[in-house]
Amino acid sequence: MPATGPCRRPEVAWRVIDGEAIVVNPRSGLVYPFNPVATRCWELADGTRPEETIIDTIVEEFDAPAEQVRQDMRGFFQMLHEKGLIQPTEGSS
Amino acid sequence: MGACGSCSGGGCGSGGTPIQIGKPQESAGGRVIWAGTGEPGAEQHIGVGLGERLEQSVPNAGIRVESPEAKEALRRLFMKVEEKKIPLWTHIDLTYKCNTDCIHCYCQHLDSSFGGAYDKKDLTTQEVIHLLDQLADVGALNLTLSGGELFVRKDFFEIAFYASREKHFALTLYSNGTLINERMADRLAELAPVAIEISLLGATAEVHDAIVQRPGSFDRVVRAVGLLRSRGISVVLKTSIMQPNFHQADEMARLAQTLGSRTYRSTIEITPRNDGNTGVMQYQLTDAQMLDYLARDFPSPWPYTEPVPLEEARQKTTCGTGTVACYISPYGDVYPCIQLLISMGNIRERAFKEIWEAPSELRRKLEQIQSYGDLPDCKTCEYVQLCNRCHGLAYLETGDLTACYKLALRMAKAKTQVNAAVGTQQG
Repeated sequence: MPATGPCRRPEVAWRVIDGEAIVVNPRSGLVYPFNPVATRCWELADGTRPEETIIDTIVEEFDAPAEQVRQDMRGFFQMLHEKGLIQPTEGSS
Repeated sequence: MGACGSCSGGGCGSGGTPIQIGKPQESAGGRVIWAGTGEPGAEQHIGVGLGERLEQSVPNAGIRVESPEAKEALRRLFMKVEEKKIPLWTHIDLTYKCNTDCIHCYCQHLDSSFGGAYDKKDLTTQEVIHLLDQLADVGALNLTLSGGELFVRKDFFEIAFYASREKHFALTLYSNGTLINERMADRLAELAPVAIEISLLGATAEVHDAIVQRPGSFDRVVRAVGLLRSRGISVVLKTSIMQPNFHQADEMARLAQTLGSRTYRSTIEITPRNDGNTGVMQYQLTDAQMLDYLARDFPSPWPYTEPVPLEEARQKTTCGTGTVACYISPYGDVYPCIQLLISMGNIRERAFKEIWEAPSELRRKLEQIQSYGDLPDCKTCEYVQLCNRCHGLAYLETGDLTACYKLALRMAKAKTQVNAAVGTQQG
């Protein structure tokens, strides 16, 4: 079933330690330490949640300004995509 | 495959613990000839609105830190890992069984069904899977699967895919390369390990095959590297430099480069077998050969280190074995690292977490050793600055993990001599 939202690539390795994820792209051999907000996004990016749902969750959980979070997260997911950490979602370019 | 240079810059950190960011990546007796991911911008620091996000090359491939922000973030992270004693780097030998018979191999298989001396059995598929569940729960991330030859296990892919897809481990595989065919290479490409590390023990079939004692092995290794590289899999070739292949040291480095090895590592450290048998040490280089090897400008010149006063040199931290890395044998025994073979417990009897976190005499001893100055022989040694001793190998050599590790001392003497000569040349 195609993902309906941002979805971690299955081969990407990761572990959360004290609320901060260490993410490894095995194909590029690069390690990405995430801060707590990015970590929460990453945990939610399992392909079952549309991007907007993830944004709403972050706004609620981190009590952050919605517009700022929306803008930051779009850039964040774009970068995850460019770095091969998440797979394209249905309808994405 | 075992420890044929296996600890070079890897999790066990015999060349310096992984938390020592910025330290030159060098195994206790080896040199990282070249290292890197080959990806442009590997050292970039990319800021995003959500906060810092950094990228860095995988430690096993040789940390290269250029961005101060990346260095700081990784330092913080590894401090946390160390403080919590999370075995972020874990090495499991799935079996000691092997289809080759390397003359210098440290492995001593004990499975009587394979000609071993004892009736020890490899962990079953389900036991390994249960172990992976437990390791993921305690935070292990970088998982090295090795042997023996790991591909002799029929359930290898079942275990590896479970580790990667279900438990999100970053996999590094050690193999002798001889069993990798087209079909297996396809599956390995699908698996997407961080790297497959393969031993190259000669620049010609004559030398390589004599060391592994299986004709045709060299050709199979060369073919395997081609199959893996053509599928975009990162290959790391590594060499134990010893008497039978010393004369081909430069040619092996050239060949590794020609074959497309992402990183090439060599070590001159031939260690006793796991059972303490020192017979294999006959293949160690002589002092003169060691000096000759370290002094060579090819493929990279010796990196000069400014000498510091002895008092300062003795403050150098020792390896952090038993904190951020661990080793698990095919029989389920848990050790602080692949070289320090003092069992902490067996996962067939107790949960991994219980074994890892239990206070013990070994833990107490290891925690008392923070720097070279804490070791009786090292605190009076004039070669300590360029010494990379290993608790485990000192233990194997002498039965005392705090003792002088003689091979490291020999190497330190050679390094000190080479370093002084390079310093004089550089004025």
